Amino acid sequence: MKYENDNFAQRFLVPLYLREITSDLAGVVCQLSRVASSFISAGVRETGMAGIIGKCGRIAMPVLIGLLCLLPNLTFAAVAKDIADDPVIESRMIHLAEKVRCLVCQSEPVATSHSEWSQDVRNIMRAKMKAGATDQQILDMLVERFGKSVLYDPPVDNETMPLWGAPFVMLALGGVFLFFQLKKRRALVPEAVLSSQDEQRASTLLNESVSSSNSSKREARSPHLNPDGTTSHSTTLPNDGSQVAGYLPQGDEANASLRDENVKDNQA
Amino acid sequence: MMRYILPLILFLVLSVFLFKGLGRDTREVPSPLIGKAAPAFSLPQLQTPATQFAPKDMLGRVWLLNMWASWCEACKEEHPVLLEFAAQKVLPIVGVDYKDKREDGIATLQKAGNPYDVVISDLDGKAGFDYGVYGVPETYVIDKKGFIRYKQIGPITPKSLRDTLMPLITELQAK
Repeated sequence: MKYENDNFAQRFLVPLYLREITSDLAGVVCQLSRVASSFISAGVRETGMAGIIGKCGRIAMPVLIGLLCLLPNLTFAAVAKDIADDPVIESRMIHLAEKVRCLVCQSEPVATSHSEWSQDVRNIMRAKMKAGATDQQILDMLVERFGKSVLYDPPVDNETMPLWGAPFVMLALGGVFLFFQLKKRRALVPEAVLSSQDEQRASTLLNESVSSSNSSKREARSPHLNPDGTTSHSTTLPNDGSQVAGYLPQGDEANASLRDENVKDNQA
Repeated sequence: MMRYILPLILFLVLSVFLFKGLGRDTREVPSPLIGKAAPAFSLPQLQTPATQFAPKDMLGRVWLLNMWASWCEACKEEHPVLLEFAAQKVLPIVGVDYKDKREDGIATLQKAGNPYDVVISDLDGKAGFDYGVYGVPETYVIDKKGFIRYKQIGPITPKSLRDTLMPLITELQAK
């Protein structure tokens, strides 16, 4: 579609003088039709010669309207100069020009740019393609003159290595950081040492949770399994949820979040 | 302590990069032609179209190739600097009237003065294209062997003349 847009835009930009002519013509036709219609109505009203003049008017109006309808064609009459005769070359050129940066406008490909420089580049591409150059040869020629930054996809070589390699280096650094961070965290969370009393309590709680499915979820969650996993009290409060729930009104969501906040405060 | 210092260091490094990026003009694309032979062309002179000019005529001399045009606003800014520099007769300055009507080019030089030893006319911009021109004014320093040594994108200013062009020209002329 870009090819057509380009074509269209150029057709509109090139024959500016033609547009002026057509607008002048339109003005003349408008005047004519106005004269004609006033003539007709006057003729009909005053002289009563509706027969002859009315007939003339009835013929003249459609003719004038028809002429008006033809006007837009005039704007398309001029063929834009820098469009290749060969549509195959034209589409190939536009395809290639999509890959080339317009150095004047920077963030626009040569294919869509209206800068004069881009038009020159398109013309040179057309000429080279007609002369039988391959796409790669044309790109090489551009790089030779304007540097690699004319290409939207810079080639992988020594100079552009940092550009292409940076994401992988970042990823590796992130991985190393994550590895050590996780290792450190593991060391920070001590293994839970349960006294026999605790163990007994835990098993009763677990059994309870099996029997009563819904309400016990919160109680089954022991603090050292918390996602925030801090160390301060891994075993001291095995059922903090129920404890806190003891002195807070139980029920809706708001309360639940309140409880959670309370637990976090305890931990901090 | 480290957990506070490390982000700070990262932040500072990033800031330096971003700050440098702010000051950079992305329009200034480094020319791949530097260190390479100046592309050959043969073009008619502006005032006397019968005489041709080719870069090889300048072999053995350090010279400036200045691309300009009558329609170019930044060139008007550059023009007095060039005139003053030309008056010092340091080196030959060749002007290329890039994609310009011949009469417009001549009129501009008549009105504003002519700093050039030779002015040539690049009507269709073919030579400019070979030199990687994408926005006039652009100026090339070409050495005695005909190699491009430096490219200035944008107008020559008294500062760029003093700090960059002159030291390079003196160095190249001494060779």
